[in-house]
Amino acid sequence: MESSIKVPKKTKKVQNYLYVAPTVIFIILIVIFPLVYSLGVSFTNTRLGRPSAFIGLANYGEALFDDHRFWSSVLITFKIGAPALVLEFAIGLLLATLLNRNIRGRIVFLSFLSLPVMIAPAVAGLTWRMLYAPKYGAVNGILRSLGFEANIAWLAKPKLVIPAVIAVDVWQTTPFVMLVLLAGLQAIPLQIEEAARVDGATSWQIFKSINLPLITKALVAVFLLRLIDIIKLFDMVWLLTQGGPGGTAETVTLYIYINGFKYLRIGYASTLSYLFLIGVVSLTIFLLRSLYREAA
Amino acid sequence: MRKKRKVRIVLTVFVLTVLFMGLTGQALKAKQAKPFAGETLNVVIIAEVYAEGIRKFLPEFTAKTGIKVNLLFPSVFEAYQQQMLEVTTMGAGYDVLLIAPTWLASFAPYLEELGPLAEKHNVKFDLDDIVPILREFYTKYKRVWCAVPFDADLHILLYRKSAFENSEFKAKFYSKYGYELKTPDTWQQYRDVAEFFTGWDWDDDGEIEYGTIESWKRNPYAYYWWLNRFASNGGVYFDENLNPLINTPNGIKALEQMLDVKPFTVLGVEDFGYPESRTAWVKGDAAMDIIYTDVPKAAEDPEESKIVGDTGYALTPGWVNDGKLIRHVSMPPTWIMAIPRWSEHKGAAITFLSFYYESDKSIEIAVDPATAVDPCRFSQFQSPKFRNSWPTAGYYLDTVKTAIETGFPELQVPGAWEYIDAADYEISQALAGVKTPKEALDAAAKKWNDISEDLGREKQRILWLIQYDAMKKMGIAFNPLED
Amino acid sequence: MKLLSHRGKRHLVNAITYLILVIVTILMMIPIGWTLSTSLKTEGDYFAFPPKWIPSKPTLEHYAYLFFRTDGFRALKSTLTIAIFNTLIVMLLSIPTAYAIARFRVGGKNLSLWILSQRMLPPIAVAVPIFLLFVKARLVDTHVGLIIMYCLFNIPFAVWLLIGFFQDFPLEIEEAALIDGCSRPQALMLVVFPLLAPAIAVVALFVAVFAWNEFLFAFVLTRSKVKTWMILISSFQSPQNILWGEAAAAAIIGFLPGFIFVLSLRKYLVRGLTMGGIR
Repeated sequence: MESSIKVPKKTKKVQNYLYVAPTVIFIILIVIFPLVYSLGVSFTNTRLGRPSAFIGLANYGEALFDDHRFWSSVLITFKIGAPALVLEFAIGLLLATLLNRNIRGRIVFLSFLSLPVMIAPAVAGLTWRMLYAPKYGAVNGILRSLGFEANIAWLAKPKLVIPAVIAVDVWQTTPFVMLVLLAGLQAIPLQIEEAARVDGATSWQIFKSINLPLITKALVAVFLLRLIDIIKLFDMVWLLTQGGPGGTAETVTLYIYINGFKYLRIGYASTLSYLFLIGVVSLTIFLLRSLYREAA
Repeated sequence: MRKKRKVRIVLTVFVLTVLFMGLTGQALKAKQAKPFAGETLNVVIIAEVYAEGIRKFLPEFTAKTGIKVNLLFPSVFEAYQQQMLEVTTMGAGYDVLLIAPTWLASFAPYLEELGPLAEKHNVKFDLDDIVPILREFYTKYKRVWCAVPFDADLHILLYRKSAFENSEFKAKFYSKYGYELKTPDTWQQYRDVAEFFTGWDWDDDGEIEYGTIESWKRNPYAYYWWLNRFASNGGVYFDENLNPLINTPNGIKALEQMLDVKPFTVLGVEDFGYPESRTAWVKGDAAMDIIYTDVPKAAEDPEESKIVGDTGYALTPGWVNDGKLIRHVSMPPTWIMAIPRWSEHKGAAITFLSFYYESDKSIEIAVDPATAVDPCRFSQFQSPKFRNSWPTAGYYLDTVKTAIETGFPELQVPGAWEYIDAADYEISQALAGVKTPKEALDAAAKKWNDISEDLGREKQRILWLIQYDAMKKMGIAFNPLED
Repeated sequence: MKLLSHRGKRHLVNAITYLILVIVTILMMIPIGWTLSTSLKTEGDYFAFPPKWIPSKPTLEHYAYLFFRTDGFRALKSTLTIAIFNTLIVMLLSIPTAYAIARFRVGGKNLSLWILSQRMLPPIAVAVPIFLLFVKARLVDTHVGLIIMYCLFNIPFAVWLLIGFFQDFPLEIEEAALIDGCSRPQALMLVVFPLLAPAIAVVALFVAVFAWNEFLFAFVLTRSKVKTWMILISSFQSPQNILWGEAAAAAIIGFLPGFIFVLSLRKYLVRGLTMGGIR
């Protein structure tokens, strides 16, 4: 929909770019050197504190064909990310719609429900380590008081550690999804809803045909954002598991961290990061294309 | 008249000169006593518990030398990379570093040699006070002295005295296993004792107990608990040609020994680090615990511990090789302090190091359970104050001293962390049941070769031989097990 | 459903709403309740069996430790400064950018995707080069350095979300204002902002929370002069043990600013019956 105000085309264009220019310039200034540096270093065998040599695509070759641990980490990232995303959105959307209704005391619920996301992911990791302790932790404690014989070592068994991580992530970021979707729902002007109600539509019909479409862009935006963030998940998983038993919770970012900061092998870590970046960008573009095709 | 005036002038000048010289003399003397007054040191201390040790004497230090100290806390996870980033960029942001001996090979080129520095500033260190293994491997690199020990960690075996001295249990044990119940000398005995004490409430606290506590969490506990067994089995990191020896029968047997005792460990050991192991011990969950030397202090603290007075100390089990009982114990992490080459306050820094190295202070710090610092020096082992600080302290100190003497030094070649993490990853996979011991150690050995290639195999070999030679002088060499 | 009267149906739906909200809130609060409880416990209770929710000897010593034994005040001041300035700068830059991309299609789809892609960088990848860059620019161990660094992560976040919100916003309402004689900036301020207040508040909230809670670069880019709250929390972890009480106390204080922020923005986060909609 074009604006009906007539403004000379040239001034309009320049004016528009002015809105955007400071931000873009700012980002470029900070990010250009690190990006170029990382790319350059990814073609070397640099280790911090040691002489380095150019080795062409050898790192990329190693990562793609000779590094079983790297591909494990990709799979693990997916195993954690997919279920977590689904749960966050299902629960987040549910909570947002419930809080969109004008019930009394909803600000109380809102304030408390938003707390988990205020906590630093690293702190969440540490806290949940305490909670997941097999004998002394509150999780098993609560299960026991409900009558289960809960002697579960959540973080010590390969099969349990991934669900344990997913639970923490869902706990921590569902409030975020909820708040964003709620904000989107709240931005829908009341008259639109009122008009539909006057016309006899039920709450469910209003939700389906008015609320949902009017938060589509916001929903897609937050979905993509969460997708990226969950693939990038680091602090929480690191503090919670340090990679888990047998490395079964070692996500891609954990593996990059270990290469870069424990081995100080920054050449290889940069290679992994670029592969990671390519993967995420491709995934995002693919999703954007298909999501927009559906919405259109 | 004129003569009187002249005399007065001369007298005044004389008096003023004397006063002036006196005052400057005083100032000079003060400067000599406090040559670094007004300087501020940035000291990396990593954790609040260690900081408590330093804070004990900080006011005294500042009063005596005029040097102020900032304590810095890069996190336990970031400390390695933080300090490396600083020294490799020739930064002067840190004046005293706190590093682990595993990192020594990486840091060594950037550390100030302490010998010449100490001489230049006339500070003394009684290095013979340090147990030889620590002194040779953990304060020197390529035989050059560049660090001072701060906290020496190593593994010992804790056991519940009441359980081991109980005559009823002794009888039951004898009838089941055919030998006397005592603190295990070998890993096989260790397994038996652990099995005996698993699954029943032998200390009447209303909870089921287990045989033993281990710590097999990834990054990098699993590796060190394996190292105890590997080293006492006669294992050593590489042979003279830098071929990894970790997947020899010595190594595989070590891993099998761990899997053997797994059913008799406290629930969740695959995820236990020191904090979890310490908690399980002081709450009385097991009959034995292989853990570092700081836990006994916590076990005597009535605030936290449910088993005050019941902790016995012994050496970690070993292996009988050629008729002799060999024990070796790993020593992680252990912290040492060093001075980076680009510090702008090196004189003040070495004054700081020598102050805290002084016997009386180091004893005070090691005695206090709140500082998490462990003894590693002869003066600490023999200190009457330490030996009397709790009823069994003397016995504890003797055990620790003997244990250190059987210490097994960390790998001290460049890239040590890469080797260790690769091994730890594979060992952890075997412990989690994802791979068999042989598969795991073979994969680790392959990775070790890859790493050596990447770092320059010949260079690594030469550096390894320097360490291996020093180890052989201490009586540690590879002793292959028959399959 | 036709059996219930309209009012009855409304009550039922309300009841279910409350039920779900209460259950979910309780579940969400469990870890936080546990942290609060730990922060008030003496050492013996951290790992009591069975797990204790009420401390047997409640104490404030851990909170006291934060401020009187170690530099809690300094960390608080530093982190607040960084978070506040970072939020201001990010919002000032992001709102016009997002608006222009959403309304004027500046840069088309590519610009917004490029901005989002900045967020795809794993921080670990850029830590070393950023450190080198900041050393040259003398920004290491300064508040400004961290503020700038967090902008790099927060601006893409804010712009991306705001674009979504702006795009969802019905154009007709804006058009109406423009026809009525407002200029574009006026339309922005008088019409769009009030309705999008919840959206902007939420974005600002998360920008601030991120700056407050950031872990990796807080270490990489500081030495002795700047100490953030996260650095303080992690100082309670040593290889041997964790000072659970102090760490818990620091965690509780750590999320207070966010909590206070939410409470003070509550007017904007949920609109009342009187807000919203222009006749």
